[in-house]
Amino acid sequence: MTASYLSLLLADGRLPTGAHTQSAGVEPALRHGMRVDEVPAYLRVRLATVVEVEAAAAVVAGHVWTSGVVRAGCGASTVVEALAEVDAAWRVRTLSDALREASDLLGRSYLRTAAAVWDLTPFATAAGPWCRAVVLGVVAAEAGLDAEQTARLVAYEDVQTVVAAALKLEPFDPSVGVRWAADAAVAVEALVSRVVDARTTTDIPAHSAPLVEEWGQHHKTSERRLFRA
Amino acid sequence: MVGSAPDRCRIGLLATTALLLGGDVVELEVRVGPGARLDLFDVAGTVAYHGRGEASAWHVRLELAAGAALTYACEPFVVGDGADVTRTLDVDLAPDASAVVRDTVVLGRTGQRGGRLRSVTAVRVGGRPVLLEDQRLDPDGLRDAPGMLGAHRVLDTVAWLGPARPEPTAATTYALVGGAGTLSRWLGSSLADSPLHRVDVGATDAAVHAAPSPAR
Repeated sequence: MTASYLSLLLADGRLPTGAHTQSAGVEPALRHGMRVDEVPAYLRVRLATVVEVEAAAAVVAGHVWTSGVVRAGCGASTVVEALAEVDAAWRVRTLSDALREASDLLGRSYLRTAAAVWDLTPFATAAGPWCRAVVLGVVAAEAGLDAEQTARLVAYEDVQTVVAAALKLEPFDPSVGVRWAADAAVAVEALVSRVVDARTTTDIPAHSAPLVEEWGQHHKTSERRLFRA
Repeated sequence: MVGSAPDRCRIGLLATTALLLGGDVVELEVRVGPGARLDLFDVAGTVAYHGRGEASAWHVRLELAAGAALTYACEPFVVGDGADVTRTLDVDLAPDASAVVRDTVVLGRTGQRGGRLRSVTAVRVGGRPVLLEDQRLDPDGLRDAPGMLGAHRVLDTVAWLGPARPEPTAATTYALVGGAGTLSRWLGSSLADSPLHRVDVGATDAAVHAAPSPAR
């Protein structure tokens, strides 16, 4: 199996990871008055902030996994410990505990699916919780994706999550959503070039988007929500 | 200094010249020794004026030794049109130290959009980060976009770190990683509407320094 084939597999919305429960914050954003025609701007904000942090963490996790697996004499627990550092690095860069919790849930179901396909020992059996970025980084690395493909995967998935959720919440012409996703390629590729060389936790940026955090925090306790986060 | 006791003191910070102009760099370094209590407060707000092409910076570093307690009641930091400011806030706490820090940012003076602000916060407990935040609020960039700040111009934040007990307010409250503390933040358009505006930072954690009761 080639990495580009597996890259498509991992980016497919039909991958059973529980991602369909997520709106990447677009549900609380719309609830707080964002208009549907502002979705492209919302995507730019995410790609410049929270998604860049996630993608960088995934790239570093993938690097840890690959080098830990390849390097002889590197004990298994060391890999898990190194991944725990990456996990902690993402966590302290995410102010909203509600968003951290949502990511942990996604990480858990993503890991359950992926561990049935790839051999992810010792990571799969290590005590969690693991944020989604770390799980995705490890799985992508195990599937042979490089840093660039991994970062693009994280960014693409976020874009499609936003667009698909917006369509469910405020129905509009689906082809418009496809155009938004296609137009987001510029910001996605810019993100990829910013994080592709991340190797250690200190390379992970801490960009924050104050309203994304606030909306995410409120959404946890909001009633009649369609998406978990 | 406006007050002191054997193990505590209260200090007001007052700028003696016009702040903050283009090219200015302000550095404030505060160390609170073991078991001591320090209450810091700004006497007046700070305005970052038009930098005429020059950037300015405001660095605050707070270090708390074992058992130390600090309150820091900042007055609003106003980013005027044409300002290009970088603010950093570094808080290093020993594992049992506690701090309550208020930080209020207002983008633009009355009728203004406000200049460029980069605000970087790092909180560490026992040397390990518990919060890292890098806000890049550029009026010519994504600042006003949905998810960033939208139409909001005021970011009012109070952080209760360590054992300091947070005061319940109507602001959004976040639990920091590993039980390191609580951060409350209000985003809005007028500071007078902020529920954190009325929090008396200097008084909030007075209980922290009381002898621990067996019930807790």
